[in-house]
Amino acid sequence: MARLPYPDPATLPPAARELSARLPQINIFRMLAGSGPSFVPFMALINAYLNEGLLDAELRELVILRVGHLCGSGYEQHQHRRVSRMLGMSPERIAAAEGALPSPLFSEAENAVLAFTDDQVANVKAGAALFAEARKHLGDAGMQELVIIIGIYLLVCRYLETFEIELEETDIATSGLDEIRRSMEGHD
Amino acid sequence: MARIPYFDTAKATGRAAKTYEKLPNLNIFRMLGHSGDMIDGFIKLGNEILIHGDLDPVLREIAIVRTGVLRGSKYEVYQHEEISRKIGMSEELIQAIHEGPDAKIFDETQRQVMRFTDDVVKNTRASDATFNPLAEKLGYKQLQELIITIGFYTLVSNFLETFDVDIEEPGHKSGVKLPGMQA
Repeated sequence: MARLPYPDPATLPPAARELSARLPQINIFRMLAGSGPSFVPFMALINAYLNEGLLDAELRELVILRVGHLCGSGYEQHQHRRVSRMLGMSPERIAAAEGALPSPLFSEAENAVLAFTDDQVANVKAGAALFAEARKHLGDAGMQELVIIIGIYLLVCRYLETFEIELEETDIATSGLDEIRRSMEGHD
Repeated sequence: MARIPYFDTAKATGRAAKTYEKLPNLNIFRMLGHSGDMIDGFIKLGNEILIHGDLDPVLREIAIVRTGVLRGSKYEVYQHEEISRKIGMSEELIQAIHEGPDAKIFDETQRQVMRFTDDVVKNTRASDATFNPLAEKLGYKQLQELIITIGFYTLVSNFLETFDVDIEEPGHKSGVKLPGMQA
């Protein structure tokens, strides 16, 4: 049981109600619909970083899985394991996202980025050597995207765990990414 | 010194150029320019938190400054102490945010917001002892606003510290305007 009741769609402002109806029907989005003026821009931010970013999609999902693991958010990991599978990642690589680094299942870039992620989550400011190594692979725009994705999922994990959002009884059949993209059309 | 060069905002195009037309002149926004069009999502969420929320601005700034203190982000603390002063918070109240939840000057709700922020930043999940009294007081919508604020400023702290964004020179005019601010 979540710590808060899910909002009744009938009580939501029109823009939130409309967006909520179009998004994948998972509990985090149902709850977020009740968050007030941040709901639409927060979904726009998530959509931009999941659907419009420069980073390789598997690299991005490994980072998101790692943040979920470091924060102990089973819900976040569950949803992004599904996204990872739908992208075609092997079960071994998905499992390795919460294992020891460096992993032989990861590329040099993936190992560098995940080591940076660990340091960032633990220490806020990642060390100079880890920063330089990750930057070598990603460049300046990629580094900004990486830091913002780590930050978005630190927010998401805090939201999920503090509100005790429970897993759905049945998983949605898709990654959900295309549905998120389509739901955001017209919400600039 | 910042770890990578600041972006030349005169070179922004598309959605980023439009976003820069309205942004205050601050180093965090100059640094964000490397993100291109992705900058607008970050800015819009920040604006909603700071401008359109129902959460009392003093409670909001207590949560933001405390997040910056806990995450060691001098830039975030500096900018939001400026905002705190301009919405009428006393130096004693601002100083108490550095001291911790037990500081005498806090009223009951402010102290609960301090405890909740500490718990969420450190432990991800707030315990029943910090969650329950605050949920009762703020209601569910404002509680959601509060946790999104804490999470967003955790992101901001990471960004500022990782790229080593410099605090502006003394006397710099940023042009930040928020509801309730005195000139």
